[in-house]
Amino acid sequence: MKNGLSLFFGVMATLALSWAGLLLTGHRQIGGLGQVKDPADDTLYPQPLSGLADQGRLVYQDLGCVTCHTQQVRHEGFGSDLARKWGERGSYARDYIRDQTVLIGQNRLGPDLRNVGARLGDAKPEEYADWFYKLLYAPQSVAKGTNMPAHPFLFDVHPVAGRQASAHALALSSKFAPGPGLEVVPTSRAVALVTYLQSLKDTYDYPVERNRNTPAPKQGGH
Amino acid sequence: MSANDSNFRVEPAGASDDSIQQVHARLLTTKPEKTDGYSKLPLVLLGLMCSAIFFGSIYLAHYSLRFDPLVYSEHANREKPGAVKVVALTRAQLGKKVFDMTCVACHQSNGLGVPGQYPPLVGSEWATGSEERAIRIVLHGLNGPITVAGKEYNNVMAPLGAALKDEQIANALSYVRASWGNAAPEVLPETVAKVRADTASRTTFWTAAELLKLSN
Repeated sequence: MKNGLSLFFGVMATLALSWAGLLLTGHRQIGGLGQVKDPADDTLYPQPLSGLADQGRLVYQDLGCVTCHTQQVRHEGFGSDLARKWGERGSYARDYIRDQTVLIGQNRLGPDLRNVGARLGDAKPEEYADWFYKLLYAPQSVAKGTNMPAHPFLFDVHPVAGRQASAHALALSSKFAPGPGLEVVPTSRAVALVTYLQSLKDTYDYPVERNRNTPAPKQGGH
Repeated sequence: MSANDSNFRVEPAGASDDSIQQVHARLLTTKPEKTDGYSKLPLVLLGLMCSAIFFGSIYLAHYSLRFDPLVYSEHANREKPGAVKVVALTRAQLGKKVFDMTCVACHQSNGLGVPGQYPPLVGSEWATGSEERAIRIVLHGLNGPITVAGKEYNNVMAPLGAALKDEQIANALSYVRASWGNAAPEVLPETVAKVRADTASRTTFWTAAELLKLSN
C-alpha cells in the first residue's frame, strides 16, 4: 500500500478527535459538577441516597426497571413531561451526580420516574409506599389498564393461620388478593425498591441552572 | 471450461476489425476530451451549500447559547448572565439556624411547643406582639405562670442573653415572627442592643405579670 502510513495516521487522528470531542470535552464541561449548598437551609443538594434507598437502586438495576422507565424529565419545549406533571422542571446534569450508575433509560413504556417520589400529592409517605407495593404486586389494582408486569416474587405470600397477622400485609381487594387466609407481605427487596422510588425527587432548583435557563423576555424580532 | 471439453470450438467473430474501429472512432469524436485537474462545481450545488451554511450559522447564533454546558433550554436568555447574585437572605431565613440550635428543644421545629409543657409560638400574642417584650424574654428568661393563646403554662425559660449575640436574637425572633403563619415585622439588632442596654442591671427572670405591667 502506497500511502499506508498517512492512512493510518489519518484514521488515528479522526478517531482521536471524536473521542476527545465526545468524552474529554464533556468531562471538562460537566465532569466537575459538585453539590450546591443552599444558603437558606444550609443543606447540600443533591442529597445523597440513604443506605436503604441505595440498596433499592441495586434492586431497580437488577429487575431491569430501566428497560421501560426513564429517569429524565425533559425540558420545556421537548415533549409533554412538564405538562404531565412528571416534574416541576427539566432535569439538570447536576441532579445525577449522586448516582453511581445513571439509570437514565432509553424507552418509555412506562412513565418517567425521576420525580416519582415527589408526585405523592396529598398522600402521606406511608400511604404512598403502600401504593407502590400494590403497584408492584398487582399493577392493575391501582393503575387500571397498565401494561406493567406484576412482580409477585418481591412479596411473601403465606397463610395467616397459626401466626399473628403482619402489620405490613397489603390491603388488597378480593379480586387481587391471593385467596382467603393468605396475606401478602413485602420482602426486604420490595422495601428497598420502594424506598428508592420514594427517594427519587428533584424538587430543588439550583440557582445557577435556574438563572441560566430562564427564558428571554418576550420581544419583537426572532 | 476444461481443455478436454468435447463441445469446445472457436466461434467466428460477429464483427470485422474495421467495423469495430469505425464505431470506436465515432464514439471518440462525440465524447468530450477529459481534462486534467478539477472540474467546476455546478452552481446549484454551490448555492445549496451556501444556504445550508447560512442557515446553520443563524441557528447556532440563536440556539447555541455560548455552548454553555449548564444551559438546557434553547429558549434561555441569549445575553450572557452575570455571576449569580449573592442571595440576600432575610433575617427570618438566617434566624432558622439560631432557632434550630437554641429554641427548638422546647418550642419544637413546628413552633407548636409541647402542650401543657412549653407554650407554642404559632399564633402566640407574646411572640408576635411587642418586639421589645419578646426580646426581654429571650434576654433574661421567663419564670412562672403565663397564658399563651388562651392556655395556661407554668414553666421556666432559660435566659439566653449571655449565649446569643444581638444579631442572633434579632434573627431568631424574626424567624419566629415570620414563620408558621405568623406575620409580625422583623426585629432589628439595634432594637435588641437597646433593650439589652436598658435591662443591663437585671439579673433575675421575668415573670408574665411583670412584663404585662410594662405593657408594651
